[in-house]
Amino acid sequence: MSHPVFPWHGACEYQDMLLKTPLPDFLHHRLAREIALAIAIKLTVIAGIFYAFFDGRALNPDADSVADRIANPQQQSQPTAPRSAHAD
Amino acid sequence: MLTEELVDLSRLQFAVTALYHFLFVPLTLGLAFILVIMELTYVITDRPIYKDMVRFWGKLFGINFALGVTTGITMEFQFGTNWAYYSHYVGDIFGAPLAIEGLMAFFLESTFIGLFFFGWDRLNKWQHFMVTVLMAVGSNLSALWILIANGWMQDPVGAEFSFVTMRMEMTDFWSIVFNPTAQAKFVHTVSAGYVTASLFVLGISSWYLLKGRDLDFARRSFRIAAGFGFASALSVIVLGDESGYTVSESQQAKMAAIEAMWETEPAPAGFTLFALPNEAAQRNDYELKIPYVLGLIGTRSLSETLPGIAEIKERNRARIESGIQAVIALEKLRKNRDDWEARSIFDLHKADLGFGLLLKKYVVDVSQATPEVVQMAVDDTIPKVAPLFWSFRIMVALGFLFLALFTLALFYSIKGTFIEKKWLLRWALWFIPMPWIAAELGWVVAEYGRQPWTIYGVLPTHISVSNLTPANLYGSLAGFVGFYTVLLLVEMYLMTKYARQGPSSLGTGRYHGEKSGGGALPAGAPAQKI
Repeated sequence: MSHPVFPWHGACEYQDMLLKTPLPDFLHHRLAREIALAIAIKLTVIAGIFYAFFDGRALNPDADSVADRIANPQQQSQPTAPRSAHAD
Repeated sequence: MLTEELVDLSRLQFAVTALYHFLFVPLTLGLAFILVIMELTYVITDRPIYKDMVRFWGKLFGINFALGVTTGITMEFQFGTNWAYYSHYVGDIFGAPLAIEGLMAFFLESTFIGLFFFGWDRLNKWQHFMVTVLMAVGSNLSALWILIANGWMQDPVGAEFSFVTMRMEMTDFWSIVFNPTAQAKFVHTVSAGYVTASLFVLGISSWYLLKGRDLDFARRSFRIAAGFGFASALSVIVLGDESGYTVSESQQAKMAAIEAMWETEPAPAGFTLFALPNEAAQRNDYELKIPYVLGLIGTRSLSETLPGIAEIKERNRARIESGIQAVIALEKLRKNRDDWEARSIFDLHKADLGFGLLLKKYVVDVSQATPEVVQMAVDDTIPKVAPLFWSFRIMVALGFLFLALFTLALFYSIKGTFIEKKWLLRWALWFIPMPWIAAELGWVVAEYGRQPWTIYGVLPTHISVSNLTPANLYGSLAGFVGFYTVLLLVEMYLMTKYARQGPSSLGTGRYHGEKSGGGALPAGAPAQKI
């Protein structure tokens, strides 16, 4: 009967199992993994910038708020969409 | 408060993200079709070198796509965040081509890009060739729908304003799709992309030839780029002329500003080759003209005149005065939809509503606009002349230099002596960045020249912008500039790395520096005709 050589041997087995988990075919290709990772990073950063600077501040104008804007563009209109918890 | 700073920052943010996005687009548009030509040659001749060419240039195409994709999404988000009033006012029309682009073209392009890279071992060569064709068609269809949306901003046909919904409503989808302004912009823009990609391939191939490495590979790439580039450079000039013609019909203020034409000249007007525009005095301090040329380009006739800035301003003054009536009637109708007198006045003047709204930058009640305020609004209707004048001329000059370069490259390709023309190879190498400069300047002319409108003649820019704080915009602008700069540096690093490696990056053992050295030619090997 074999015994684990290192105390973290069990963890290694778990990692091996994770690596053997079937991935979508295209992710077996290194280039595909790199492209997928690049796209994921970019989307995260772009979404993060929008979330940080615009969340809860973007308007969702209706006909009345557009009419108000046209009547008085210098007046700050209130957002018609509820502000998110983040913005508060 | 809505300030000029807020409007300018929103414009700057959109301009930065759009110009950055367009660093990737032209190469994708053009390289896809160059890959089609190379792969067609491969499937016909069955010579492995053409497959290597598709795979190598396809790798550079992939790097460009991977770093460029998603950068366009930023602009679509900005319509909601930074341009919320614009989105409400014209979203029903502007949103349609954008949605079609995403659903039809972008998915087509992305799906087949995946198959292009990972289908080599799973598809036969004809099937793979069809994948490459569909990838190229998808990327160009994507450009088509985006430019239909943009063309509508320049020339808003097939739509009508509703005072009930306070938005533009589509009346004729097909007139938007076949809008001559959009179609002319599309063919001009994709041709510019073909020139960009051709010069990219030509320049890198020239570098291999100058280094005396991978000669067979570089010669074949050079010849394909020279042929495709010559046709594209010719097209971009001819179709640019067509695009200019549509501008002279639908955006006369932009045309007058591009030409620094302060006064209407007798037909046919001369083309100003060089001038020092003086905005304050509304004249050119010095100018050099070619007689008749502008009249012929702009009107396709010897007898039609093109209006100068002074004449356009007087026409716009009349439209602003008519627009005042439309704005007053609209405000009455918003209070009482059954006010039939206001309705009839509105119907009479609604074509000039946008011009009346220009006054809102200066006064709340347009009926109180003084002659001085009206004059300021009139002056606003003409974009700044000097940036347009110079951007246009640099773009056009570069266009003719591309034609000259590709003509010579094709001529010496046919003669089979281009490897001996070191000056031509160096010219091609150092000219690699120039198509990007020309394309970005083209967008500056198109979009800066659209000011003061987001939708030409319909919706002023200062009405379109969201109510944000400058802090929101400075922060997000800094974020985008920083992130995009990193992406650009990564792109340039990867492109340079793989371009330097050349086809040996494929690991076939046939190219420069590879150990097996199957077909690798030593540095300085004599040129041979293929």
